Amino acid sequence: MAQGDTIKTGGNTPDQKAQLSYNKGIEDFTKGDFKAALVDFDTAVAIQPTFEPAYINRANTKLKLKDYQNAVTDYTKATELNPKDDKAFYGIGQCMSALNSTDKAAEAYTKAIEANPKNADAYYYRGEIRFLAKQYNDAMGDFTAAITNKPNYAEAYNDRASCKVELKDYKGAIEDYKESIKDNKLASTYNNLGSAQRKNNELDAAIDSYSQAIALKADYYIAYNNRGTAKFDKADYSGAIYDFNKAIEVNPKYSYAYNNRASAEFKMKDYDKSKADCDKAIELDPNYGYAYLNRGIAEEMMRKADDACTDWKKAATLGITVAKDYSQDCQ
Amino acid sequence: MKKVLLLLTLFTAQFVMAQNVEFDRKNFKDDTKGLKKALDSIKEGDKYYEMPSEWHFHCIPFYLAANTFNPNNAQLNYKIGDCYLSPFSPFKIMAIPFLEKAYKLNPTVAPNIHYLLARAYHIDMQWDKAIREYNNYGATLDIKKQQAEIADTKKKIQECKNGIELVKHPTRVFIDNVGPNINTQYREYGPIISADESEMIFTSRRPNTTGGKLADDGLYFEDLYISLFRNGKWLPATNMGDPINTPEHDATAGLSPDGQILYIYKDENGGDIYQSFLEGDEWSKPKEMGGKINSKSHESSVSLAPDNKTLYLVSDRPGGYGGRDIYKVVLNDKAKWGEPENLGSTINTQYDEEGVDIQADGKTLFFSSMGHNTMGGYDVFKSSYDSGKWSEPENLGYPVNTPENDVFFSISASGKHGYYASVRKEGYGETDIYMVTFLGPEKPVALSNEDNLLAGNAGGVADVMMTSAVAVNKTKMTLLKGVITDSATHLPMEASIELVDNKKNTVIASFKSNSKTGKYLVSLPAGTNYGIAVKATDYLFYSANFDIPDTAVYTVVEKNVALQPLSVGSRIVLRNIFFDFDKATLRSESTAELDRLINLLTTYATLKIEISGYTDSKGSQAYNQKLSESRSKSVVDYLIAHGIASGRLTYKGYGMDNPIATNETDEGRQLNRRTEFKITGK
Repeated sequence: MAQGDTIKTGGNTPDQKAQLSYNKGIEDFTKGDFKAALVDFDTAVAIQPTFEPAYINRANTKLKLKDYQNAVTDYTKATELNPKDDKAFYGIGQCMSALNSTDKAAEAYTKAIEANPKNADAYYYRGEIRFLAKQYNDAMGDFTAAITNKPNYAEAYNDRASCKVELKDYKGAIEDYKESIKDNKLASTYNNLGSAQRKNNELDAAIDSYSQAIALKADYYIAYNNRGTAKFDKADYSGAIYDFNKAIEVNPKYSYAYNNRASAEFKMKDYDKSKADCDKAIELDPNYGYAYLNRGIAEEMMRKADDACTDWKKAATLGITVAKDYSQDCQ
Repeated sequence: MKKVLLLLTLFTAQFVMAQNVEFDRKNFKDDTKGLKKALDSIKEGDKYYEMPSEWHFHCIPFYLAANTFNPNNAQLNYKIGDCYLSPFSPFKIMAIPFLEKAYKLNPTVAPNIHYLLARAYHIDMQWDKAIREYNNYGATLDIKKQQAEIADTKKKIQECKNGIELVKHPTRVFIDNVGPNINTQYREYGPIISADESEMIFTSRRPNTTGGKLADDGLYFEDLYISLFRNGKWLPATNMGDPINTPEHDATAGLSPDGQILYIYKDENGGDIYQSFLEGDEWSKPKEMGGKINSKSHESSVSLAPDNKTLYLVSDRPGGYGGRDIYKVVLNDKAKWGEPENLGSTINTQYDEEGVDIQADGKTLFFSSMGHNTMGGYDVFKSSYDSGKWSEPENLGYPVNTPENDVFFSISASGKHGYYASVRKEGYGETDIYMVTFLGPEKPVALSNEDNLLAGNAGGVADVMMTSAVAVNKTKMTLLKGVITDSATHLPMEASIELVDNKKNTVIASFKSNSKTGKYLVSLPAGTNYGIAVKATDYLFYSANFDIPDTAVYTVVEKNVALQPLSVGSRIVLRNIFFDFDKATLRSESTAELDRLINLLTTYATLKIEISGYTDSKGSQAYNQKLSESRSKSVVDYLIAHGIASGRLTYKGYGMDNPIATNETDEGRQLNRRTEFKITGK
């Protein structure tokens, strides 16, 4: 997780009693006793209703307790008392993200940045929202700002690399993923690095990176599936099947691995097995267009032209354009 | 010392094993009877061996019997190999162990031992060994005196190199034997397939050949056989009988696209093409094709284009590029075949071209050639005619083509299937007929992947990836077929059918339905608007309109037409009369249809007709009535301007009345917008 999920504040208060409760609250919060902390901050704001840092910390406590709506009320009260406090806006952003209200979250992060243009985390989280909205260039700007304000920000390097992947700048992505790994060895970053390398046709390097990811996280079935794909691209079909088997062993409901194993089996001219794996992938995900496409391709070689046509037509209805081309030849 | 002795013994033993053993008494003192039997067997085999090479295949059983008695005679092994490689042998690769042994027993067994070894390896696709042996053979040749052999050896080395390349990227096909109802232990070849693949005519050399005699090569005379495809399988083939088959050689040479004209090869005048017409359900007596088709040279294969006016011909007449070439012949105004025109050096080579077949699209030519990048013997090629020229011939690739002769390839209208003769392990004996199913370029399988792209987001972000798609070759063509009947009696009838390109206002093809079955079949390449008119004496003509977009893939459209006898009250829709949008102005595409109308009114000079106009239900009744009336008047005005007496013509606008289809759909409305005519007096 990125840093700054909770922000503790302190300072002079007009009333010592309120201050004492406030400080006790911070103490309880630090110990992880959020319920006790909540009582302390309640006392503080009851005594001094304009005690802005107490509102923020009570909101942070509610955030920890996943009481997002009430947390937002406290953060909002804090912004009313001090419109220049970026932490309150940042907190609203965190709550809104948790409530899946991404537009409001992005708006809150923007206000946090306006209040404090050096808030690296606000940039980072706004970047993620933009990434998920496929605004990759804007997201990349945010991740760069996050890195500028917080050097060695491994997560931001990872996410900026992912923007570059989406923008097909694989070389740039590889550099950023490598930078990210320097500071924080995340299995997912190694996996992502492998995928960027695979897309950049550096298949051996990709296989190494996926292996690193698996070494860090033995049950990382996504990395097994990806390493299998890199081996498939190298025409090492039996090696690919080994990895798809591993992915299935860890996650027997992973439809991608069945579909991909079917592809490798097709290349090994084992059409019966290929079809059986497509059957399984479709059973797990009845709307899996590529599994229908692949099953049709296997059935064509099994001399089951009618079945192939039925599958290609189904794949076409699921948005697989090339399947529409194939099914045009069907009588 | 012991070691030396042992080595010496081993060496001697090997030498003994590889030693040539003559069929001499001294070598077989203990079995003089066996020796005599073996020598007799060799003598029998030699009788065939001394005959032309077509007969050499018959030596094999005799030579093999002798070889069982004495397997270590270089000369006999050589001869067995040579016989296995003879022209009519279906098992050429079986020559290899015998030739290898002959060479091992005696490296100078025959001057051409390297050549025969090379041929056998070549046919077995052992490319490197074949090249080595061709080179070994080449080294034995005299540069001055054996230039032809040197050139031949060089060509065959090149064929091996072509083979190496072609085998690297096999064509995706299924190759299936068409089954025992067509193939037998005897030889079947030269299949010709009807456009819709409903019937196949082929050549065979079986005991039930007409006359039942053997030809000079020891095989039965060639006859034509026919098989029909019904309910998913080929029915037992039958001898086409008299008058198609005679006691002499009768072989397939081609079939017209509508299946009404059969072209037959006869061994006369150096090899000529004859034609026979399907009259009802009987074939007419074959006649020499006439015009400039046949010459004193060898003509062997023809293919009629779907326009029924262009014929592709194989001939070795003088003036070509060498050997057999492909020519194009056009039917002249007097319905005679004109001067054959060589297709040029893109198609024809200094080597033989053979077995021509133009696809139903009229643009794709399939043929076999011993030139171009063949991997040996004839290979099948295809070339497309576009922008006034033929494309560079494309080898159909391995496994369709092999180092042996792959020839007389017949393509279906869909382009999906090809039929040809081949010798394969799964065959019923000698050459059999096989169907090739083209699967097109490899269809890439699709893999799915995902990554955890965001460090702050625990969920996976799916990233589906697949290799780039490939272009799918599609035949853009429609096959139109059906039956013409009399609307009153419902009996099938002969009628002439005219196919018009409405955009260009030209007749593309004219042909007739079969007089007995009423059947017709025509191919319509995509990308244009067609008018089809069906005519018969004393019947109202029928017209229809087809718009086949350029994007249309291969489809078969069945259109049965019932012609109406000429009688008062008969009416037809004139589907090929077109007006400008919302106007009564006749468009130029209507000319052909209007001319047919004039022709009818001229032929039947007493006929009186009404031209009736109809619209769809869009717009007001008054407007539609007026539009339909002015449109029918335009037609009448056109007829009067072209000499038809006005007293015979009336016109009327019916507006949106009498719809013949629903007005709820575009298709229905299009049918309702129409011009009709009906006979009001005779």
